[in-house]
Amino acid sequence: MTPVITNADIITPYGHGLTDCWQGLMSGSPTFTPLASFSTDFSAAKRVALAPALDPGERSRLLSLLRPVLRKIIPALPADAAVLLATTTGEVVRMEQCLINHTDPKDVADPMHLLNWIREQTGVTGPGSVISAACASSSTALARAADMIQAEEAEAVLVVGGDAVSEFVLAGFATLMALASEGARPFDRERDGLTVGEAGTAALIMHPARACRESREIIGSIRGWGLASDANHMTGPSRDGSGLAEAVTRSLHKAKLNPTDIRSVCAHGTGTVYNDAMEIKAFQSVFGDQTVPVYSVKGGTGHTMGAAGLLEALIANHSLSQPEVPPSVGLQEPDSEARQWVSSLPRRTDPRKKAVMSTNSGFGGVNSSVILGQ
Amino acid sequence: MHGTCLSAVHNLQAAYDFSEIPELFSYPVKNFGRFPESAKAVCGACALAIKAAGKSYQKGEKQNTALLNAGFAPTAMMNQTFFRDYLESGRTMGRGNLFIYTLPTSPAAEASIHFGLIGPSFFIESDTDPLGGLIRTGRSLCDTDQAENAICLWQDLDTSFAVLMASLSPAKQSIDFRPWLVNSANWKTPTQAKQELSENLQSISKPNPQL
Repeated sequence: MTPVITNADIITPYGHGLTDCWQGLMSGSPTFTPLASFSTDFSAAKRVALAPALDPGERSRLLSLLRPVLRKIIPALPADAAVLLATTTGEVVRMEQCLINHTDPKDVADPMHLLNWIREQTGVTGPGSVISAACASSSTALARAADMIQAEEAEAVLVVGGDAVSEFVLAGFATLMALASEGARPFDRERDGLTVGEAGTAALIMHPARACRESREIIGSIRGWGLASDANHMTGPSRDGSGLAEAVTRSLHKAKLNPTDIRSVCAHGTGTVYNDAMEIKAFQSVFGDQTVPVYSVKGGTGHTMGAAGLLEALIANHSLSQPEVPPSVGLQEPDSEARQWVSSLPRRTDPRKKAVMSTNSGFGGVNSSVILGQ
Repeated sequence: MHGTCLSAVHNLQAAYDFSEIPELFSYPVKNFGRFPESAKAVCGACALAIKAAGKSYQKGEKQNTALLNAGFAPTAMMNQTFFRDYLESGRTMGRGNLFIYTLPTSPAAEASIHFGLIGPSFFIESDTDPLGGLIRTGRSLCDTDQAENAICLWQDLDTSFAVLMASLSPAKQSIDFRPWLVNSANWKTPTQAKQELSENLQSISKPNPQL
């Protein structure tokens, strides 16, 4: 039994909705802008990717990312849906403000408050959990939702993924020298880091029988998923890509597919030297001589942290209905190892192949792979 | 409570070495003395859970064991520690060794690295049944062949609680799990820490409660 996606919405630095994001990616134009809301003296990297036209009146920027996507999905939500919230830092800006103003932050940034807020907005009564797995948070949540549906623990699961640009995150990545000086250029031979971005995402995953019973339109199917850890290093990925390769292999096994069945891969592609090199190694070990179009969206949207997994899975899913996949935005000259995999231009894909893959990796050596299919 | 934990962290970072308790870890935990308290407690709890389950591990070996954790309090504390330190620098420089532990999965990641655990690893906390949800998720991963074993960790500011579950029978009809509690609030001195851990190790040979 294959869990299905019936509704989804996103807000990214390209705007509100999947169409805006897809068109932005296909144009090859990044969304990076100088940051003005706080000083970035701690880093030579001054650019971020910000979602436009957010409501400044919300208690946090993250809520202003999530409210519009939830509003879009709420009419379709069954009341008994379970809810999984995926985030890395949640409403950390609220903690920032307390410490800057010398007040006790208490538990103001506890993601449980955000989960409670989502319940209030949506009215869902099913089981709710916060899931965090670094930059693979929302892909892990998607996998967990698929598990719950397949095990019949739930017939409907709302997966919400989100993170916002914050001084906390920028300062943190600056300490690790992980920020791109001008803007992320995934898989480029001159790449020098990531660009922090932000996004709000939501998707309703359902049991296919219930979706059919309720005459819901199906916009995608989650055919396979796999999670694995490097067990190698806190911040550096396993150089041989074995952890990601394991996750990819597990997802193929789950989907009962071979590598040759995969039409394209939306990679994690952060723009850091080590992540991108690791991913290509992983893809080489799994796909061998097969040329699979690989692309990263992070050169366009920035690295959207906890939202990245679900955002990129939805982009990959959307590509199934399109003749081409986006370029790796920001790519000028591919790294020699990546040359046969990535492109700075959109590429046509093989419509006979009915499945696409989306991969993510994160600090602590977490890896995820999700396969979407027709 | 907040002040107590900060001072406990400073005491623990007076660099005593748990490798002096050879029966706890199969080999020394790299950089253990520099771990925050939460990561030390996680490694200790995992070591006890692995021993209690009658399992072993060796350096360089990988195990298809999932590692799940819940309990946001240590993360909240590390978030504040990192950002306070950054503010005190005049908002010009943060510290990477503080930032990397601000993710909810970071303490468990140190355990994954030491014990060679390559299964799924993520933070998951239910809003209605945190411990039950954690354990059910671990069991689900074993039942669906996504992991051969699952270690489920609950963390509060002064406590780390680990349960190891394994699918023991080919039919996956029996799940054996043994809970072990590691209470780091009492770790004011290395001697006290070693004594508590040694007592836990001695009690492993006794019959264990089934949840």
